[in-house]
Amino acid sequence: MRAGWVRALWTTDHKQVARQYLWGGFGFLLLGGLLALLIRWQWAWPGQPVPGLAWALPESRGALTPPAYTVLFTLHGLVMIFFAVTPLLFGALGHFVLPLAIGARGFAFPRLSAAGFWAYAVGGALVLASFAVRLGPASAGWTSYPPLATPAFTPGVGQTLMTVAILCVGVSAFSYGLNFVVTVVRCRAPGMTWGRMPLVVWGLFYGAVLNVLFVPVLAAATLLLLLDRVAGTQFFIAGAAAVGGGGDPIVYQHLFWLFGHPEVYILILPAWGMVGDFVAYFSRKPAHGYRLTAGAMGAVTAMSGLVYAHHLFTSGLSPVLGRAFMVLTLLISLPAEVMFLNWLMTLWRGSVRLTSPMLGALATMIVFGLGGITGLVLGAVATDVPLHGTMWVVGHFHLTMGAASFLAVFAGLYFWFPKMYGRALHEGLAKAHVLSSAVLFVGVFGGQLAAGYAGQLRRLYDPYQYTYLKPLLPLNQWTTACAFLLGASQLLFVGNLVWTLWRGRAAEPNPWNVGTLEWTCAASPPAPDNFATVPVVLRGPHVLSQPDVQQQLGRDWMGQAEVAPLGGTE
Amino acid sequence: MSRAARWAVVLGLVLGAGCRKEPRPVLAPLKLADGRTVSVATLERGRDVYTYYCASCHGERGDGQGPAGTGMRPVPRDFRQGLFKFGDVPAGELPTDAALKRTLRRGLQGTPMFAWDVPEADVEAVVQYLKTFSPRWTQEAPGKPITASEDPWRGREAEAIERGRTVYHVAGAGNAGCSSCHVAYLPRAELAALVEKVTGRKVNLAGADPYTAQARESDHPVAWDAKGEPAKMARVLPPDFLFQAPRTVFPVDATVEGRPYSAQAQREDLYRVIASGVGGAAMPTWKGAIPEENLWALAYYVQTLVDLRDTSEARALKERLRASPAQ
Repeated sequence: MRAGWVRALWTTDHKQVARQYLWGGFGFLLLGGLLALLIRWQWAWPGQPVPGLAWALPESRGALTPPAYTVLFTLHGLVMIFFAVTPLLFGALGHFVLPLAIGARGFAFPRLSAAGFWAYAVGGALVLASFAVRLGPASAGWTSYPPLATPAFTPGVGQTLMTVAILCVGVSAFSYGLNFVVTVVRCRAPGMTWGRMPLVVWGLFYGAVLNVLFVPVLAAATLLLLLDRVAGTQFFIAGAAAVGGGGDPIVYQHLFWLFGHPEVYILILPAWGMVGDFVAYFSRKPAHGYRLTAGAMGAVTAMSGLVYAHHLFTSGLSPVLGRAFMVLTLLISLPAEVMFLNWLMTLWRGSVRLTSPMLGALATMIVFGLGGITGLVLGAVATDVPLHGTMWVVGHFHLTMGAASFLAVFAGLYFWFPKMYGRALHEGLAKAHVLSSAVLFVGVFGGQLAAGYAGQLRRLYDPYQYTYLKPLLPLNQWTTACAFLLGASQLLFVGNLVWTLWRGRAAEPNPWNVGTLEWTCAASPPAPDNFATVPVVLRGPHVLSQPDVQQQLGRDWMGQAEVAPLGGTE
Repeated sequence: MSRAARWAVVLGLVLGAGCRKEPRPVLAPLKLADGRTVSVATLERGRDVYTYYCASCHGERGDGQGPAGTGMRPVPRDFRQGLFKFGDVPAGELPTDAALKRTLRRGLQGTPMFAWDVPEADVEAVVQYLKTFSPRWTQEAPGKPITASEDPWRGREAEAIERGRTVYHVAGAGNAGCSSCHVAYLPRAELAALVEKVTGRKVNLAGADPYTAQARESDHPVAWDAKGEPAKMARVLPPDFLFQAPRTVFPVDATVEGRPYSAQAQREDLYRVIASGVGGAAMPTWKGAIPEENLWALAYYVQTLVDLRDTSEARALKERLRASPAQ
């Protein structure tokens, strides 16, 4: 007999697992965000005590010391990527939407999805536990490069705990990746052909494929690193840190980025899918070039494992390899460009409705576009070499995988929240949240780009120890002000969420007037097995503003499984 | 066993494996020979601070053989010796806490010993902790601090420099004869004339090279045998002030400990190092060995050389000196 709390926690219902991931992801988003604000504090007021932090750092009366600072930027990166954004995109939104959107009653492996969540939860618990051990949490940077991440230079238990925690989220990511792939391939409803899947399903599917292919690479590298830490092996300890023989730390960089660059696409593919769907839904037009968009996303997925070494241009890579990876890196922007143009074409002369998910999608497009353009100079060897060590890199990747993924998460959340909880969020607050976040993201990461272009190095505890960086203090203070405002603007969301869950009004069955299965065939929130009867899909996801539908049904949309009264309208 | 219990066991095992207690030597209160006792709490904090900032070069065991310290010249200090170069005490004796803290806060120029921006409480803790590495600290008290006397040359700088030049280049009769280890900064003819004037001795510099310094033996090991005993000692080159930055004397107007560094502070630091000597190296303690006014004069003179460092003027001077004929 199982206790009640076990039944509540060990759930194999994909919607319940999604909610668990959602709350876990929000918790770590909050933690990662607060860490980011502390980093920003240090760059605006270096060495000044942080108000209210004296209890944590009594020796310095609350001022950030160099070890505290390295902990902050290490944990910020790891927490945001592995414990906040990926779990929110795949764990929360992906788990919730994917089976519903393809007309499945659940995942192919429901217990695997539950086990995946608990692997994530254990990893999260280890991260939190690492704050309590001697020498504090991990501090070798989010990439955990050896030899810095070996016990020779980061001896604390915290780094070991973090290494185990990354293995845990690796297990989690691999298990939902596998689950998503098998579910999309095997469990689609009758009539749900590949060409009728919503673009978000394509995005999740491609992202899941990348998870299956590349998360094991990260797991392998991390496991070897763990052995170096606890078992005395020397896979990555070399040179100064090893006496005789020893492995090669550069191998770790190759393994890490062979995962790390696809990870960037893992974080953005579901976002691209959502943008593709939302611009269609809220322009009340079919997605322009649906097949081309899905194909472009596939092309990016296929190429994503072939570009990783642009992270190593400054690591002593052979110039021949550097040139090859430069060409591949710049090539990958072509399919992305195709996709981008299709979104613009969808918007063109559409009947645009600026709902909160639409604002989120447009904001995602804009910040991702900015991030993409600022990335071109990092893809080319000649311009990467001087910029690689600077804040330019930080601004660039935060725009792409930070701001864009974050805004896409909220676009998706605002879109599917009524389906998840059966209650409608306050639309005005949601719009204010998305807009203020987008503007402030551009402020923060634009400020970092400017600082990077001016030469500010990106890993410095106190940049102003360099005379040539002293004039950048006002710029950094301005950026920090934007960051604090960005943090404060999240209260718009928190307030909205708390109010809605407490006493928000019940959501309408199909508030966005779209035809996908989750809105037209399932209750809000959906029943445990999703559908009363498995829908038979008749058409694609973007049947919008079609004249004959409008004529016959008096509305501008039609459900994917809706039987047309007079036939036709495929 | 129910399924829930089985999961709890698995979770416990994973967490347990992650949190396995690392072996960590137990610290006892440190009874210093000067009568003070350092608490375990301070030592523990000091060990953490040491691990954060120091261990990668100075080694976990304080032996100067940390993974990043291998191959560094000068070698990271081996704290097991209890021997420090800049201690504000007669060379070779145990340094004062103030001197250790100054080194930590200011760093040593030209070495990877940076000016560490460490909270005051942590500086105190780590300075006490590094005393656990050498038994000397529990057996003998730190040396008597060497303090600067009143500068007798104030307002008579030119005179001081003139006297300092003699003190530097001539040995005996209350002069230090620094140029016999460090290099000379007078052309051969002038050097010979000055020596003759002060000591009455005639010197022939025709075949000599007074402008190239020779490395000297030191007590600082660069290699250790299997038992951890020093196997080879570092040879230390006395700095040529025109080209090598003294470790603890900074350029005027540099920011040192957050404040601009004045010419007066520079002179006092020069006085301090000359008066104390350099522990473990060939530089002896000059306080008491030569008259106090000569010690100050030396500081004035060396300051003129330090200020010339790495200028075209310095290079030109060096050229002139090397090319100078004997008579």
